[in-house]
Parts: sequence; C-alpha cells; structure tokens
Amino acid sequence: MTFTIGTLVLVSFAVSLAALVVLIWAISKSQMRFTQEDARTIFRVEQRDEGLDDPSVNADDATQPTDAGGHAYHSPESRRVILFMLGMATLWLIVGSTFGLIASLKLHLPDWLNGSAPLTFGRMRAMHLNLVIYGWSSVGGIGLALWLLPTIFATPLRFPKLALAGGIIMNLAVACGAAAIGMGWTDGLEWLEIPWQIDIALAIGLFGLLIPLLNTAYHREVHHIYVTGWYYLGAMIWFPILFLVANIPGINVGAQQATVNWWFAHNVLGLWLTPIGVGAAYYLLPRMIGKPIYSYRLSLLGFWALALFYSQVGIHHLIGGPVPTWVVTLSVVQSIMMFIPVIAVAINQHTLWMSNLPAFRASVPLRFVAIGALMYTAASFQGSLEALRSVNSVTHFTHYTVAHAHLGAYGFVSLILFGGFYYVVPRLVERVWPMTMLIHVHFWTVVVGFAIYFVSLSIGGWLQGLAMLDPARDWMESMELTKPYLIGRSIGGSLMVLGHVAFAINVLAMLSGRGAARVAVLDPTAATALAGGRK
Amino acid sequence: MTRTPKSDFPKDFGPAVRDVDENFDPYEQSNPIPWPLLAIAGALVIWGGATLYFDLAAAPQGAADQVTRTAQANGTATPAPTVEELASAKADQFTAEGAALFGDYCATCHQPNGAGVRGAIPPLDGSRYVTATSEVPIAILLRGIAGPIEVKDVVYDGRMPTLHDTLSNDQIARILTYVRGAWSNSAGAVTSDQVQTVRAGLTDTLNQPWQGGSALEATFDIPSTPASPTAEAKP
Repeated sequence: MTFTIGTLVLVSFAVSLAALVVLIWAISKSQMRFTQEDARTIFRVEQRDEGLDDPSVNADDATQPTDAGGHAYHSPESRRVILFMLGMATLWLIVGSTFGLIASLKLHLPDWLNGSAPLTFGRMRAMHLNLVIYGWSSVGGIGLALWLLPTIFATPLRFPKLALAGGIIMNLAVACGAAAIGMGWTDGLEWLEIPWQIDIALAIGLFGLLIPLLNTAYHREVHHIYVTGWYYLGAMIWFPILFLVANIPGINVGAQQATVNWWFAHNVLGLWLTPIGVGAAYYLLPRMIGKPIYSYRLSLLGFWALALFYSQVGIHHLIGGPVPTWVVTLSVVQSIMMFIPVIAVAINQHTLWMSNLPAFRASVPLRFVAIGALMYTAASFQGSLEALRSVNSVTHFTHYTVAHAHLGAYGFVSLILFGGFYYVVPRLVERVWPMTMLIHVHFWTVVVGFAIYFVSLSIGGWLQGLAMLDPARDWMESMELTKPYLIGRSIGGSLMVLGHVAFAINVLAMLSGRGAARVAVLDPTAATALAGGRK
Repeated sequence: MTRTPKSDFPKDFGPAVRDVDENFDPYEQSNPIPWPLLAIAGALVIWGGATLYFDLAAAPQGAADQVTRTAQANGTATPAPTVEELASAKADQFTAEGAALFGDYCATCHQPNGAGVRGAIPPLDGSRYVTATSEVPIAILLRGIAGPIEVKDVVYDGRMPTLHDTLSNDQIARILTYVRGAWSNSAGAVTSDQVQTVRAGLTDTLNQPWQGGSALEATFDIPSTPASPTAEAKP
C-alpha cells in the first residue's frame, strides 16, 4: 500500500477511534469520576424542589433561579438582554417561516408573486434559510444560552452590556443580510449567502455575545460543569471558527470552495444547532420532569463522540462531485459513526421522559422538548443513512433532503427552542403565559403541520429520486409527480406558520406585561384558584 | 426566600398526573454504558475502517488520471511522466547525441542541412538509400562507397570513407537515427544491435567499399522510387 493522503486519513480515523476506546474504558472504570450525583447539579444550584416543573401555566413555578441567599442569578440587565434575544428570535421566526411558506407555495404556483425579483423563489428561499438559521435558531439559541449558562454555573452573567450590544449588532446584521439577499446581493453559496461584508458585523455581534458567556463560564460557582455546559461551551468555540473560516473571501475557489461550503453548512447543524438543542434538552428534560438523566456517564460518551466524528460529515453532499474519493468516503464513514453519540443521547433522554409519560401529558413545554429530542434521534439516524452512496444517489437532489433538513432544524432544534422559550420566559418575568389556549394551539398546529410536511416531502422526494434515475422516463415526469406532495408541504407549512403566529402573540402579550404573577401567599390552594380563574 | 415543599404535580394538571407512582425511580446510582451500544460502536468501527481501507485502492489511480488531464488541459508536460513519455524523452536525447556525431563526422561533406554538395557529394535529405531499410545506411557507413551512385536523379561519383573502424555500433546507430529522422526524412530509428547484426554479416568485406549504387541495389533490393513519400514531395 503506497502512502497517500488517504492513508493519512485512515490513520487519523484510527487515532480518533483509539481515543473513543480510551474514553469508553475511562468511563467504564470511573476514571473520569463522573457520578450520577453530578447529574443532580442542576437541581442543587437552584433552591428548587425536584418534581414536575412547569412555569408556563403554573404561577407557583414562575420564579427566578436564586442562590441559597435568595439572590437571583439574573440581574435586570441580564434579563433585558435575554428577553431582547428571545423576542427578536420570535420576530425572525415569523418573518423567516412566512418567506419559507411563500417559497413553498411557489413550487406549485409558479406564476404567483413573480412581479419583482425579491419575490422570486431563489431569493425567497435564501432569505427563509438565513433568517431561520441565523435569526431564529442562532439568536434564540444564544438567548437560551444566556439563561442556561448563568443558571447552571450559579453565577450572574458577566458583561451584560456587552452582550446587549452584541445582540443588537447581530440582529441588525441578520436584518441587513436578509435585505441584501432580497436585493440580489449575495456571496452565492448555500448557507453563506449573506455578503461577507455584512458577515463581519455578524461576527462582531457574535463575539459580543460569546465573550460574556465564556467569561461567565470562567467565573462559575459550581464544582462540576453540567453536560449542558459542555455542549454550549463546545458550540461557542466551534461556531466562530466555522463561521470565520467559511466566510473569509478568496481563500478557497472551485471544488475546494464547494468542499468548504458543505463542511460549513453541515457543521452549522452539527456543531452549532445540535449542541444548542441537545444541551438545552439535557437541561430542560430533567429540570421539567424533576429527575436526573438516565446515565450521566453516557452523556459524556455522547458529547465526545459528537466532537470526534461530526466535523467531517458535510462532504457527503458532494458524492459524485469533483472531490477526491477519499474525502467523500471519509465523510460517509464519519456520518455513519454518528450513530454512536446519537444512541448515547437517545438512551439518556428518551429513557427519562418515556418513563415519566404522565408528566409528558401534563406539560406542553415538556412535550415540545421531548418530541424535539425524539426528532434529534430520528433526524440523525436518517441523516447517517442518507450519507451512504446507495441512498444518497436516490435522495440527494430531491425534496427528500429538504424534508430531512427540516426534521433536524425544525423537528429537533425549533421544537426544543419552543419548549425552552415556554419554560424560560415565565421564570424571567415571573409571570405565566397569558394565553394558555394559544400554547395548545401552537403545539398541535406545529406537530400536525410538521407531520404532514415531513411525510409528504419524504415520499415525494423518494419518488422524485427514483424517477430521475430511470432513463426510460422523461425528466419532466420526475418534477410533475411531486406536485401533490408539494401541495401537501404547503398545507403543513401553513399550519406551522399559524402555530408560530399563536406563539408570537403569546410572546408579545408576555413582553407587554400581561400574564398572571405568582401570588405572595404560600397557600397552594390560592394559587390553584388563580390558575383556574385565568382560564 | 423560602418555599414550602410542593407536591410533584400541581393539582391543575388533570387526572393523568394522579396515576404517577411517586416512588418510581428507575435509576441506579451509576448506570454502566449499555453493552448493545458498545457492540454497535464496535461494528461501526469495523465497517468504517474496512470502507476507508478498500476505498484507498481507488485513490492513486484517480490521482494519475487527474494529473494527465490537467497536463492535457494546460498543454504542458506532466510532472510525473508516463512510460511512453519517458521513452520519448530518451529517444530525443539519443537523436541529439546523433546530431552531434553527425556534425563531427559527416557534416563537412554532406553539410549540416543534409543537402550535400551539388555535383560532388550526394544529399542525405530525401535520399532513398538513407530512408530504405536500416541495413542499407548501416552498410554504407561501415564499408563506405567507391563508385557512381544516383541520388534524387543526379549521379555522383565520389568516395565515401570506410568508417567501420572509426565509429562504434552505438555511434553509427545514433548518427543514423538522427539522419533518418532529420529534415524531411521520417524513417525509423536505428539501434546498435541492428548495426552489430549488419557488421557481423559483412565481416569479410568490411574493408571493401561498395562499388556504387548498383551494388547496394543488388544486395538490398532497394526500390527505384524514393522510399520516403515526404522526400518526393519536396521540390
């Protein structure tokens, strides 16, 4: 065997596998000294009882996290920046998903809204993607991190003014980026459409937010960093690197650029949105249910296997492209290796909520998070299989990929963010959500809408892929057969947007000061009477 | 602030919560990593290693093709020459050395452009004796010529030196390879083995120059029309 770059890759793969074996051995032998007691860290830092915790409707739970002396972990300044981020994220969700719906409708109503360039499919779709990724998911995820990290580290947020400035810059950059795309000014690469000049502002805003968070982690008051902290700290180090490397203009051209493009695009999902979602679920599920996760050691395996394997995954998008075979094969192998962390996370999280189904039924925020966690497992399994050359050749350039992307970015990340919002905002403003009914509307429209969306597109995409591979059939046939499924997608998407409107109304009402506050009496019956009267 | 301990589930969560077994706690203090997960991980590792290993075989082949295609696209020589290109480069060197020898031993009479001297020295450019089968020019160099010879419709009657002592087989091969491919000539290369074969066949007569063109024609059956069509096309 001659020594090639492929050999080097094989060796590096072997090294990362060896690292994994050592890790598993260390965990098994308790070398890492992580015990199930560490899983209770999140309960200890707050003076808060274990047991079902649902501040979304129960005013008694809508209290700020405090230390033993009764001092709140979140200062008014820190609360202001969190609410700003969560509010802006909601705005981007509404705008971004509306653009997505318009783009969806255009696929089966091609003559609708084609009067001016910004309204055409190409720009609508790009604006949708950038607004939901950098606006909704990233702004919302950082908003959640601003709440989660000080809470699990039991210390106030450092530099809240810098964080607010960073948040404002980041949101302005997202708005400018979407406007630039609408005007036709883009970098011309998927996921990197926002012009690099505006990306500078986005990066500055991002650093303005991440520096306070990392500084807060540095000043933590807890002995043990809870698993959520690992995921968020990892994400906060990975994402700026990804974002800078991929956006600096002129470094990569041609096939290299395509490689970097997909390396970045897939890592935004895997090393930024996934840690945000999984990390939040690792906090929210035990917090809401009031019981620790199944196996704390397993969470260690899940985190490190993600860190080891994920960064190479994206190149499977270039199967059949002008990229060296070994790069693509490495990516395929790493994609399949992702089964390991995903199974680890699945065992941990699903065991917890599935063995507490009554709590699942009782709490809508918990339902959002639990279903989101389930969708993470589903999306990851599906994604690993889609990386195989045999499956990829059917599915890749079809709507099947779109369905998969939404399973990850929506079914997983967005649902967990919804649950996180419903849990966090009441505790910040110390009031429950004003319109309980809308929470249920939101839940059911989103779940049913997304089910329609996903099933339609997956079936339609698969049939489309088979038709495109069949030389006996005309290519137009492969497009025409998708039409009923595209209509199905628009129906599902409409329901989802409807749910987002219900969500946004609640957020708006909450931020404008409505919603019942906890009564100062310590008599549970009084609180119950209040809750009953609210309905 | 202090808070009263509250029940696990507030009363307003509906009847479902009341089914909860409050003592339910499935968690051991330290759950091991489940063995099926380790088994799956092991299987994936083996599969991944095998996939990467078998894929390596394709890499060098693809790399060579890519280098060739790039070179063709740029119109430049490939950085890593193929067997053919290497042979061609060696042939070029062989011919160049032949040209140098030609300058030393032949160009004084036959001229550097192979045109000879009108009425005295026959041309090599387009000569049917030069471009005939390789035995003919080899035999001429070895033995020389003393007698009339007709080249390109002109009869020359001069004396060509006998060179079998002066030149080695290898030198003759180089000179003839150059001459047979130079100017408008396009006859094949000559190897020193071929020279040796002819030399061995002429052992007894090496010191006797050929008695003109007729002797060569009789011995080697040279066609009366020029062998090289390109030579004929030349005015």
